[in-house]
Amino acid sequence: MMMSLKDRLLERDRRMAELGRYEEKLELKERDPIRFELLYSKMVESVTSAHEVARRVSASPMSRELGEIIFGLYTPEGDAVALSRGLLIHVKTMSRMIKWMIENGYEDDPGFAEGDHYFNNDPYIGGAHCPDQMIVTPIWWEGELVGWAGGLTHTPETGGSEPGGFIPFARSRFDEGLFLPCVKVAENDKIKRDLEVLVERGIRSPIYWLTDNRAKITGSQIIREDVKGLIGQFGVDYFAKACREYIEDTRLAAEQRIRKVLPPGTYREVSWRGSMMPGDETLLHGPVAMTVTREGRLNFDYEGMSPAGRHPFQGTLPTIEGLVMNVVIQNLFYDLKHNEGVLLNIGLNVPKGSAGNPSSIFYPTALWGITYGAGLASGQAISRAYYAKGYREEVHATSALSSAYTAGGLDQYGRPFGAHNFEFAAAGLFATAVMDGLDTAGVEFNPEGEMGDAEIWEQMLPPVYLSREIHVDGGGYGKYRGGNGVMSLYLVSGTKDIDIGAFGAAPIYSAPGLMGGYPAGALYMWVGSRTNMHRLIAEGRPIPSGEGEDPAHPDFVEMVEARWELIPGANRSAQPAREGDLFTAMTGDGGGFGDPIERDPELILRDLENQVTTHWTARHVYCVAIDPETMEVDVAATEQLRRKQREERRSVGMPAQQYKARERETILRGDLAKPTARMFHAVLGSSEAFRRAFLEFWGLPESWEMTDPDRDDEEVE
Amino acid sequence: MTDTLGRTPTLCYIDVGGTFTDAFIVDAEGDYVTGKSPSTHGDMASGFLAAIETACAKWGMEVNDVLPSLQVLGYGSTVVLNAILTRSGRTPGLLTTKGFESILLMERGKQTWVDLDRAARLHPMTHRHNKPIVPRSLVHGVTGRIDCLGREVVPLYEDEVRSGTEALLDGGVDAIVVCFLWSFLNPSHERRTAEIIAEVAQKRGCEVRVVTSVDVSPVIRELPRMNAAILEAYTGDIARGAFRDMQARLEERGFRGELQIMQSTGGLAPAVHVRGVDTVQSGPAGGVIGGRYIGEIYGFNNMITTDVGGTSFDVGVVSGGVLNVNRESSVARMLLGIPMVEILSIGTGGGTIARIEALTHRLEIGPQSAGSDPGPVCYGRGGTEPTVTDADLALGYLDPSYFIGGRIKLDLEAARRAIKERIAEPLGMSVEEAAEGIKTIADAKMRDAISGLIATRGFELSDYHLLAFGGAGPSHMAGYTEGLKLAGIMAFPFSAAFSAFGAAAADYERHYTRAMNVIVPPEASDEVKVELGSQITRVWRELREQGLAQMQREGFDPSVVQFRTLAMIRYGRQLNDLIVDSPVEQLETSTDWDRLIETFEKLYERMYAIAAKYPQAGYEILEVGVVAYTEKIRPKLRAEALGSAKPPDDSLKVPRQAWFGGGWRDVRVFAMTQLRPGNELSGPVIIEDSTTTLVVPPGRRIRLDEYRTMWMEEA
Repeated sequence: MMMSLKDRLLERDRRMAELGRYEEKLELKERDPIRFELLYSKMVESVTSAHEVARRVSASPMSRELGEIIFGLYTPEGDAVALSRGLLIHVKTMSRMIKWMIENGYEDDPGFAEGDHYFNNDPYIGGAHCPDQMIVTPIWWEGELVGWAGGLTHTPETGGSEPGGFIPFARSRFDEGLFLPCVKVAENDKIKRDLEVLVERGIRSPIYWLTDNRAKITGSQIIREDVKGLIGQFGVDYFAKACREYIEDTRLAAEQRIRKVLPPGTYREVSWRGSMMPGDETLLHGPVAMTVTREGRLNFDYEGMSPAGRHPFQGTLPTIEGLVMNVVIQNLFYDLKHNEGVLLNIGLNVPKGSAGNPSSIFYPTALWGITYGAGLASGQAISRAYYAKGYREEVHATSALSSAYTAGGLDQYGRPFGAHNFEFAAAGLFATAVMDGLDTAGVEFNPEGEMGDAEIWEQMLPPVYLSREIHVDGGGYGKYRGGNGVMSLYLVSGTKDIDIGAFGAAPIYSAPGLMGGYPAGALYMWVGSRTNMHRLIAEGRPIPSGEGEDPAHPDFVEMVEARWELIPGANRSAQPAREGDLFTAMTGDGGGFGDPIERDPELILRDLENQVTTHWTARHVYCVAIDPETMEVDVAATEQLRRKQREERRSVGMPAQQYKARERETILRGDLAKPTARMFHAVLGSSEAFRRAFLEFWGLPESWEMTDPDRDDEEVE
Repeated sequence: MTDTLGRTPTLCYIDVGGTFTDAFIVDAEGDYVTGKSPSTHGDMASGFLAAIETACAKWGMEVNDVLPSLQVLGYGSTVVLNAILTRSGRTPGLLTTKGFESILLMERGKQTWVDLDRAARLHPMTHRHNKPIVPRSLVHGVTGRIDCLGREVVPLYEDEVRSGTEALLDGGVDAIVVCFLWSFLNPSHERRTAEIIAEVAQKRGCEVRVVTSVDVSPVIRELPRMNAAILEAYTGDIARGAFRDMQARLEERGFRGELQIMQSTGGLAPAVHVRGVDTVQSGPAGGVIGGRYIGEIYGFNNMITTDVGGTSFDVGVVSGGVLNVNRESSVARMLLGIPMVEILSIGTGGGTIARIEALTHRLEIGPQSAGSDPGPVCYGRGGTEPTVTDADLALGYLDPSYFIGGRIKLDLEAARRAIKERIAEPLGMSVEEAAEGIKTIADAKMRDAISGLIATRGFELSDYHLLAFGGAGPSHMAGYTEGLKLAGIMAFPFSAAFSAFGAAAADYERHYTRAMNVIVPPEASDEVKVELGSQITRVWRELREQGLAQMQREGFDPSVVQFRTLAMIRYGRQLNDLIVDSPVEQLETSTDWDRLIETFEKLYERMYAIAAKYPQAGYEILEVGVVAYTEKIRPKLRAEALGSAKPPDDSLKVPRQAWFGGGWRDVRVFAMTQLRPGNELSGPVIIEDSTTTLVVPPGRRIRLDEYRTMWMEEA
């Protein structure tokens, strides 16, 4: 009798534990390496075809323009074998979904028939948040389930408490929108109409969700039929064994790569994010300790991560798994076969109850926040290890959390709508140890960064761009500066009923620099309501086209009469806007690398010519003397400025131990800013390991306890 | 002019490639000759004329004998592509929507990685911004906004146009590109800006060329549209200047007609009228047109063209007699809003390098190429890494003393040594096994490219005939078609010059499109359909009139101008449309409308899957088009009577050994030019001429039909 999938999954885990490898021997590869590679190239061709066709079927710019879409082929137990390009962080999420269905008895009820397509957007099963929507279909061959094909898209609207899928102040999962956890949406390859009606009447812009579903089902069918053709050609036994060998092949290659390029040791990084929930502003802590073993394993330990809370800045276990997979593929394994094998040499410890592994599905995960931060810190740890080995061209600072605006209401065609602008996928990238970060080029969750044309966004969303510029001096300063993100200014136009919101973060930096490089700035948003724009336009007077050189006094604020509001962190609940209102949106910027006063003046001249930095910055940050008229560098004056800067630093600096002692006193006095105190209080109370490390590092007595920063508030109540 | 044998050359096509220039000349009877000469990029005309010379010498004629009688002289040009790649164009400035002045630096993000291979795309350290053709200092913003419905939200601030123009002229530009958001939907701001620039220039007493984006690329997406306009300003004058020079040089030698340039869409246009940006992909289009023409001769509608060159493998598709058109192309990592014949190009050709990947011990082919310099190891010009050509040589498929007719002597031992040291020994194989592995993987990559292109377009391979050409096409055709269920596989005696042959078969063609905003809700009444239909009918009529006027200006008799009528249709709010060849020329009734939609639905179902259809979302038509074309004389394939299956004795050359399926085999070798219609040859057999080698493995055979087309079949 054939083993059930559940038993096969258990057997897979048992074998993995026993052998320490996915497949004992690579017999097919050894016997005929050419034939072995041939089959794999066909699998990659198939998932790539699925990806390309699906892009054309979807109505969503995320899928069509920005590549927020990925397809994969999986083993019967749900391990990825071959993946298309696209959103790499979701490689593991579809795998999680398949395993979840197997573990939860779906094989018996509702069953996995040929032509069934299962949908999931529950991030606790697989995915990062409600907009991440996946569909998988089983592949059958002569009565046996031989694999799965699946696709995932990021959908711009989910029917949440606010428009656009990203809910900036979600307090529970139930704010985020319509969840369909592992629901059969098609039978016999035919979409179930009743479920379509549910979406049509349940969310603001159903077109994206529903055409994305068509895209995923079409792509999955392509993979399924290709696989059957391949099995016909290679034989089912060869196919099954080869799938396992491909995974083991990758695991072995990954192991060798780690041993070759990363020196053994433990590398620590930390990231911070913040939550600006009304009345409960707090920082969030995302440390990572990456251990490289001599055997070629990487262990990522997130002990000390802030506990989950009633805010959207956290993620699920599949999210952090996906982020780590994404980080290791981009930094270490970009040229290998991308499949489950990438993760098999990687250990994760994400404490239960933390913001990376919430204890209940109640907690919202709309914006990832600290989970994303911890993922990026993991990439930073790899960078440090690369640095230790001398691979300077692989060393980089961090890219920022990005943000975008959300909108909902009636669109310019008079139709209900809700969506977000996803140009935030082309943020400023990190600086590296050998070059500046690229401007407006990417985000760390999708290396193929793309912002889409403004005309595509204006077709989808009513606001009209007044500018779409490179964020001047957005990237962190450094010998190599961080990449600058996008700064856009919008005019509300052509609709009588629209709410404008934004998703961002707390107003703290999210992209640290490296080796003396500065972090990128924090996010912010301006909103100008009840403006005099119509009068300015009617009178032919100048209207703003961006922020200008001085962010403290933006051009639009200077030029337009309005009720101006600055939203630090760019996290804003959607609120009604009216014709003529203005608002900004910005993507993140990248962290810098190295000391800014070591920056080559030629690079500063180039940036001045491209109008992405200012003469003020050149003089005061980079300490370079440039004549604004002739645009020539005064070498002697520059040397003098830089010498003076070094002297100033010496005059205010102090030895590290002295600084540490001073900060220790601050801790003992309990004199921390409230968000910082809340963060440490929560972490120290939830992680004994972190508490011990904290006491040891600061030399605090065993009896020391951090005072609850909100104790007084409670007493008053 | 007629030669002593009464021969009258009527048609000539010259395809200028990176390395060689090919000539294909046809006489009034349909006989043809081909010629090849090194390309001379500094002085294009020299190589051009040399290629004609080598071809017509085979007829005992000279260039001056051939040119006067030519009715058509076509030219596949790389002038524009070279100007872009070497950054040697004009100095254009740009006026764009205020607030968008950095668009060329931002590159939409995508231009930092587009055209990279998979591993590099996933590895952001390898991504780079391109140096923009127009530097930031020569970009000026102008206030004014049109929205997505074509409405004016902010009027054009004309004083900013004037000051921007003055600044650009002060900056030394020789052309000004104008590209505003949504200009393709409402061009009034671009048109008015062009007028003002002309006024300013006139006042200053200078001349400046103005290129508006709506006139170059009237389609949605501002960056590709802007890139297209910039490339036209950057290269258009240069290209037309070069074409004029060429025309003059040809006239000196007796040519009396008008030089015709191949456009990227696959049609010819007179050199004096052609736009530079429309010739970016001038050369490769020829092969696909040749595929369509062969299809017409044989009565086949669906063709796949495969061209194996030194560095790449190019696949083109003709479906239903129509060339597939790519409307989202990129050139030199610039996204380009210019339609081009769709050609999928992968980095697998004769010069592609084989390596062992260090970590996985995997044999990898490409995408790095040894190119023509140093070239494969066997060329003996300093190449050290084994290539696909080295493998072909080691397997005995190529004759080391007869490569390009013996003009390049191949070093067999060097090829074997390189394969041995770099591939065979690390993998624990023999040299022959390793060489066969290289060929097998290269063939598989080509095969995957074919099946991938067909599958992603929703087509069935069994509906298609495949044509193999290019210097190395016939050597690999058996490998890259293995297992593909095709309707037929064909190769030609003039394989190496097939692209030139194909281009010689092209029509004169002009494409016109216009943006529209036709949204048809699912519940649209007949009245609504008739009203919307009349809008489309009006635009179609205007485009036909435009096409007719243009063709007339170019000297064509209006009575011979024909049209194809196109509508780009999508389901409501989709972002991808399908180009639908309309079954009706006007939409006067709801029945006309329904016929158009039915054509779309059938095409959609074929391209994707039934589950992908979504009529409940309604339909949108945001662009319509018209193709105006006239036919011209074409090369003929002359049919001859079928003779015996047995090849003539004089076709047999010295046999040699070649490696097939794990062992050396004695193989008969035939001279391609000596084979006759009706001949049949079963593999293993090798058929060669001076420019190509056709390899027939065991299990396959070759049959020559009445046109001497070589059909590869199962034995």
